[in-house]
Amino acid sequence: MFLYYSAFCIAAYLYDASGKLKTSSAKTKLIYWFLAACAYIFISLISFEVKPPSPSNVIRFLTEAIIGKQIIKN
Amino acid sequence: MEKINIKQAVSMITLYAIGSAIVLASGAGAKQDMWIAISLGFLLCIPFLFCYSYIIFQNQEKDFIKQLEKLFGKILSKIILAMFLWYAFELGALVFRNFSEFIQVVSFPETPQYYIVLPMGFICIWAVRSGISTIARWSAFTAPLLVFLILFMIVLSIPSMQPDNLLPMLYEGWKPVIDNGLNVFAFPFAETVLFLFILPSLDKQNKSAAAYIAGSSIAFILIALASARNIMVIGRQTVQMIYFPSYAAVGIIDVANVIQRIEVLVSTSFMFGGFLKISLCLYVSCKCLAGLFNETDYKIFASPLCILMMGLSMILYDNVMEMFSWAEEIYKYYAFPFQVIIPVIILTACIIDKRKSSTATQKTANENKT
Repeated sequence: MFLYYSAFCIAAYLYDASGKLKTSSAKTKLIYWFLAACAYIFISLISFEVKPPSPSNVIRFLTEAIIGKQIIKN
Repeated sequence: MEKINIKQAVSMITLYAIGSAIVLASGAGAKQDMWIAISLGFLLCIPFLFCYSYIIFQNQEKDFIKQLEKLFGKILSKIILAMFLWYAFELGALVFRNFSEFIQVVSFPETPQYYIVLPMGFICIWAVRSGISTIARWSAFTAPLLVFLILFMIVLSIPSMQPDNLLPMLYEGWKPVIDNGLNVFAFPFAETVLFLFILPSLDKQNKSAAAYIAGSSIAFILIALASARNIMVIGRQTVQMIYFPSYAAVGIIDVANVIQRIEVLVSTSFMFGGFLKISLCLYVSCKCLAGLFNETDYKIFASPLCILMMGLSMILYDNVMEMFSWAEEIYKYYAFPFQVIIPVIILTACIIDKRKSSTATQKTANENKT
């Protein structure tokens, strides 16, 4: 998975870097490369089975806390 | 600025709404009354569709982000944009996951989901980078084809239908119907809230209500017909037991041993609808991100955001059961602020702003007279 996604990321970033990004402002480049790095690190972590907490579980927890009852009984 | 016409807007809304709903059987908890739940969900959504179209109609800036800034100032508009960014981003990841789970369950049980997600992501990046007018033209070409396919599958199912399966009506009362009606309201009809970012590109902005109502009505008719077909063909118990009832119901079709095994058409319709939905979510995410940082070019963010979206789809759920329980039990609460509260706040701000500007115009006119 890591190699598969890495190849995709590198191809996509190289395509962007050689195209539109060349003529973009420094701020755009900064935001782009920050996002690109985040995406690559995120995908790499998932590839190596290091999974961050799922947002669905966080949303489920928050929803249950707000409406004040357990929605799904385990 | 990119422009889309009314036909393209209607096609986009139709495809967006039927995208995953036609396969995932939203409102299945109402059992044989599923079609009533779907009708109720659509009826509940109509006032909100008018609310969304009124906001677009009042948009003189021709850009929703600029309209937000004008109404709420810089800081509040950025907060609202950040919320919409999260909603569109997460919705895109949810659809990615629905798509990969569907393909894995029905076709490739041994294939890891990331192999399924990546080609779809590549096409979505390409679509967003081509711009909204390209996506709109693609929709106008594909929507009639998809509507025909869905109707074709329904007509071919007629010999296998048992209308008795729809009875007894309201056997368990109104509670499950209302509960599932709210599910259908949240998914898929009120998800069209994201068109607040898309329909300002409409060439005639006074037609936004027509586009919303026409697109959603076509989607509603198709979803209700497909759900009734599923119940009549495979029965309410099987519909509740399996994850993708449309796929199973169409699999039964056999016309004179010639037309059979056409469930691939269900996969095709899901693929087209899913592609459009993910592309539009990615488009809105890119627009919101660009708006947050005052950037003019949103297309450049398509690839990193889509890769993040694909990553998020991998960690959303542990399995397909969790995905369905989340969609049925949690989603309506989670989506409520984005689909109802924020649009109503924006609508109120629009009305106040309009009154203020009309009072100011009246005052100037009176002063000029005197």
